[in-house]
Amino acid sequence: MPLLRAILPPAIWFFCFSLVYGLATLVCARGILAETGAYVAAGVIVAGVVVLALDVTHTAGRPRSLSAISIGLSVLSIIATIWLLAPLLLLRSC
Amino acid sequence: MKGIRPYLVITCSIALAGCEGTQSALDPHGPAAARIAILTWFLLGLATAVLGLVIAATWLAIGGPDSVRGWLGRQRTVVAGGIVFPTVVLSGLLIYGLWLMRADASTSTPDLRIAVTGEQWWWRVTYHLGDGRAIESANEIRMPVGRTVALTLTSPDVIHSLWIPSLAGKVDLIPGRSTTLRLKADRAGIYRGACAEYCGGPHALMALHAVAMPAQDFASWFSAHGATLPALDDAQTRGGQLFLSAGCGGCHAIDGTEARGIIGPNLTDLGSRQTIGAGLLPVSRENVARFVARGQHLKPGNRMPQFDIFSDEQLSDLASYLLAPKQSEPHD
Amino acid sequence: MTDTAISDYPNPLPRPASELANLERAWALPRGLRILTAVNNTVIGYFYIGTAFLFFLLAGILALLIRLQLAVPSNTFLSQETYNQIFTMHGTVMMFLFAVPVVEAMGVMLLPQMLGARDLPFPRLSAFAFWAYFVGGLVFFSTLFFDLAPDGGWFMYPPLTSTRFSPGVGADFWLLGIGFIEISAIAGAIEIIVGVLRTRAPGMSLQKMPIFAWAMLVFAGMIVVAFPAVILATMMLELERAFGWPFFIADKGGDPLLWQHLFWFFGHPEVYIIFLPAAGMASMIIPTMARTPLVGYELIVVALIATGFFSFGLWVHHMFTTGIPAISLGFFSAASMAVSLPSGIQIFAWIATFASGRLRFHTPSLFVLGFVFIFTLGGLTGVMVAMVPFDWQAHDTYFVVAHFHYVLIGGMVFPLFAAFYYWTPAFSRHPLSERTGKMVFGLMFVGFNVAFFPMHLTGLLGMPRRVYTYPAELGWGTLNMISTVGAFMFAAGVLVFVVDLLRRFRPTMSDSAGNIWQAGTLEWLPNGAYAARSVPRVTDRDPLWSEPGLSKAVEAGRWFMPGTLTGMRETIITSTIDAAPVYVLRLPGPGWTPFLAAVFTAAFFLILTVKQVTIALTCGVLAIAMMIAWVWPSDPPSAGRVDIGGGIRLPTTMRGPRSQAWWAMAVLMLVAGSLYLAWVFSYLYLWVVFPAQWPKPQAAPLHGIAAAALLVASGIGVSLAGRWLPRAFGPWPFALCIGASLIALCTAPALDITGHWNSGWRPWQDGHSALVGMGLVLQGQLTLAVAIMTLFAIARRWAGRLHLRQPVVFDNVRLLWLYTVAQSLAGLLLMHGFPRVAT
Repeated sequence: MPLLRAILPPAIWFFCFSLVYGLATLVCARGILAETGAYVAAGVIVAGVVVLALDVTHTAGRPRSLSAISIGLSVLSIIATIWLLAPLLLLRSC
Repeated sequence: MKGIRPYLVITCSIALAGCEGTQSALDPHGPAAARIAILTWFLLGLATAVLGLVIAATWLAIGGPDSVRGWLGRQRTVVAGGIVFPTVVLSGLLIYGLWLMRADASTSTPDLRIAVTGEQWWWRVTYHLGDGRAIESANEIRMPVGRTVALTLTSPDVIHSLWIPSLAGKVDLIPGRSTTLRLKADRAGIYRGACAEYCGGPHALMALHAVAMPAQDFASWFSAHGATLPALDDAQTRGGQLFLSAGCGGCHAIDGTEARGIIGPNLTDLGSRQTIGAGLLPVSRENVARFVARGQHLKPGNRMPQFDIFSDEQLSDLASYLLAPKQSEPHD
Repeated sequence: MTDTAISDYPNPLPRPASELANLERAWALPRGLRILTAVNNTVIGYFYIGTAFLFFLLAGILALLIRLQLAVPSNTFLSQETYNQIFTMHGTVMMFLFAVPVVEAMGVMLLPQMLGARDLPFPRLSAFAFWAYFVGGLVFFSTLFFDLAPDGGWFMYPPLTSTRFSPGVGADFWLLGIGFIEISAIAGAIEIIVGVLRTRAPGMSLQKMPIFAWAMLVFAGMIVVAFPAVILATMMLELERAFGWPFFIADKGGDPLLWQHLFWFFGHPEVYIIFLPAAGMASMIIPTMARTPLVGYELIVVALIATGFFSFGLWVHHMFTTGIPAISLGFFSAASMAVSLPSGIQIFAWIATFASGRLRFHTPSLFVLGFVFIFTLGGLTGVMVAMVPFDWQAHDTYFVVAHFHYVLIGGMVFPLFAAFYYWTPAFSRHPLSERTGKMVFGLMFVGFNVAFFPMHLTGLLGMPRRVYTYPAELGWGTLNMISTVGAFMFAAGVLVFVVDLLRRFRPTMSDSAGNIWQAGTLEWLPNGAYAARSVPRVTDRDPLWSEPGLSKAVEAGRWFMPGTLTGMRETIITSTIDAAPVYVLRLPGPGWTPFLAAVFTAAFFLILTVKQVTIALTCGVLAIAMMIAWVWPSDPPSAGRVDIGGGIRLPTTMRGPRSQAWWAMAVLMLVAGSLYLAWVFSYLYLWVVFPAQWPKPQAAPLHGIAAAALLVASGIGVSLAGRWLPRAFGPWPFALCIGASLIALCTAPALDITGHWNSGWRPWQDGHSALVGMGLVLQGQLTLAVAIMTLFAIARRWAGRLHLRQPVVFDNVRLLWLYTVAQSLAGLLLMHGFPRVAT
């Protein structure tokens, strides 16, 4: 549905955020994925930003009104997703 | 704007005059609190500037010159002001905040470990001597100036929060978990703290003091095990007997006596503490007597029943005994 | 500006003589006491807003009592116990009984007319939601007078609120009391989602929808995802208190922090749930007051949706001091920064709108300007507390009290008062007084700032929250006194407002003061109980501005559906994106059943609190009986195709994914899904934090596998039952097929519970067992709902009211049934499979 497609960007952000937070919890609370946790999290974030960027550039076939909204949401979601990298880069440990 | 000016002046005067205080985040006496205080002033400045910007923009949008209004009315300006500007500012802020958190997350070995247990409505303090033994106290944390003290925080009942704003931010005491608060005082002094998580009943009256002493004084206080203490006089001896016969030892411990209760605070060093009742009243013979006899009036709902069964003389003896210097004995 | 030629109107003049009279008769309001049976959105709107405002006044009085107690150090005006109840009730009533209901009520009141609809799509549902809230809320508030009010703070953290530390019934009143508020909110959310997406006037595409409708759509969506988390938490705490299931008791493998995660996952979106509709109202008022269209409409839509999503990633910022690892806190700090971006967009869009027009300084504008100032200040202190180290000092102090009052009073109460002054002329014979309005604004604005601004300082000077008193030597006395004076000034402003309201507000359906602001949106069309006389085709965001003759044309009946086509109340259902007409929905009129169902539902929860189980269960059964009576006349036989005008003939029934009933069920399934995901989170969370007490896998999962097989069989069975829908087959094949499937569906959880029980599981043993129990409860609840609905379907089949031409009841039963099967299978997989793979 076009409406659901339009709100995909912040949903992608929330998905990345949940994964990354869940990973951090597993690493810090249980030591699971301790070695690779940070890399996996960074990978998730980067993948999320890439998907969002693709979403911005592929608006063909969508109702014009909704694609404008979708682009705006993508921009905000890209910013919010990039900001998730900051704790990973600056706070390397739990 | 004119009408606001006197109000601003008053506020600032109150603010600056009132910034000091024994329980103030704006009057830091330790590095952690100092870093946060700098952050606070920075954020206040930034917030004031942004608020000013928004007020100015609104003002100009409504009644400013047409050229400015024309510019403010464009969608581009909305994007610039609503997305670009905040992104830049907030990116910087986020990095600053995370950098501060990194500074706080020290893993160096602390100079002293103290266990603090938050109970309804007092603080159990246990000093670890480092050789597996510990000294019990309550409602006061003594620490050496310039050294890092690590507090291990737990709770057997409900969630509390230990907050000594002059020294550091607060950390919660959560049943089932152990949290840590690292404290360091730059200067000698007495710093008041309070429970900062509503814990029912007299939560408002659950305070404590951190007493920072020069390192040498602290060392001698801490290891004053072998020192000789003056003998108890008659009144104090009577008080001591009364303490045991009235059953106080069931809840309270006094090291070196038969009183071994652990339900309530350890009273061995009550004489050298700042307050009785977890920050409620300054320690004095009168106040100790008042707390024993009228505790429920002073701190309603607290777990110590009121002992209004004693005569005035008995209360006086009891208070003298409790305030007499006593030997804290380490236990395992 | 378009000028519709006479020949373009769908319905020609003159209109038949009886058309208006028939319309009025279909929509007639019940008289006298029977007004309690009314379902018209405007009537429910009056009741709803009035009740919410009453709670605002009541909770406001509690605030004044708090301020009196704190005005001087060591005060003895209120005892500690009383104070603790009062601050708990102040927060609880403001957040649950005022803030969310009032903005929902504004939606109920305004949305249909604004969208060009005659009413909300489920009028009896909104009546039910309101009456449940009314009865339940008043009873809950009255616990204060019996010293039975909860005293654990408005977010009721365990273990303080576990039985051991809160043995009284107050906490139970809170837990069960909030229960029906939650039902109310979710019912409203269903209405609003379906209403905004499916009942707009023809031509009102999403692009052209009033911005308030977007705000309410996001609001409702957020309720669907956020409220279930707190529903789960309250169910869990009540089970712990009543039966000792140790979800939050650390000694038994539970975790107090689990409550905090669940509560704040709801609690943070909750404040945006409160703010977004208010922002939407501001976005409607500003263009009218500045006499220019809203600048940055699409940007504001982006901001609303972004706020809705981002707000779900912030919740741990209420837990920054709990010792959670710094890196985890970092993500929430980043997300908390992110959420301020959309608010900034809205502020600058409003400034841009001011700049494009000429603002008229009537009372609504003053309140909007007050809102911008106060909310911006509150948002900035919000950025401050999003910085973790600063929050370590500010959390749980008066700084945070100042922050949230700035954003809540600034961000919701001020726009609300702007909305009262703005929309009163559409709903009352007289507008409110402009002169008094300015006085109200002055007192409220100055009083608010005098009360709350000093609190920023008080908090940083060391004053914690929720303290009934403080010692003089800490130097907080002067600041507190100033705050108290400000609070009374604010209250004086509210009092002046109430006096003006009583003097001037005269509710009316048809002779309101009218469009005195020359606004551009459809709620300002001349109205009756039937909303507008005819439904216009919309081509613009501000239809009254682009087509000056629209009001007259609508009132004359030239536009669509100028009368009642079937003799019943009706509204046009349109397509989601472009609002092309799809069918005409017949709406129910007044009735006692929603009112009675609400009263019995509230009674069920409240009487359960005082542990009179038999009486409570009786009320529960009666509530269900009333609901059945209410739903019985639904999905009436088709009235054929009807002509709404302009040659457009529309069906009067709809089946499948285009029907409003399907949509309502879809939203309900999203609610159920969110509830279940909250449970899945809780289950995995306890595994993460307390792995030591994770059980070893038990004996072979025969019961679980059998249950799964039965579930799948029941799903196949219910789908097959649809084949027997044609009337020709008679009632038996359908009844047997669906009845057998129901038996399979109900046996499945029974088998599963037996399996667990036999392997030694007892839900009161430890945290993990309690969570397994919770999962089984969730399965059981849905199964029970499906069972009742199935029996209802069988009854309708027998009565000849369920067949191929009237299939909606079956469609909905099947939807919920299949969802239940899917959810139960997921639960089986988790509870049986996870312990086997988890380390």
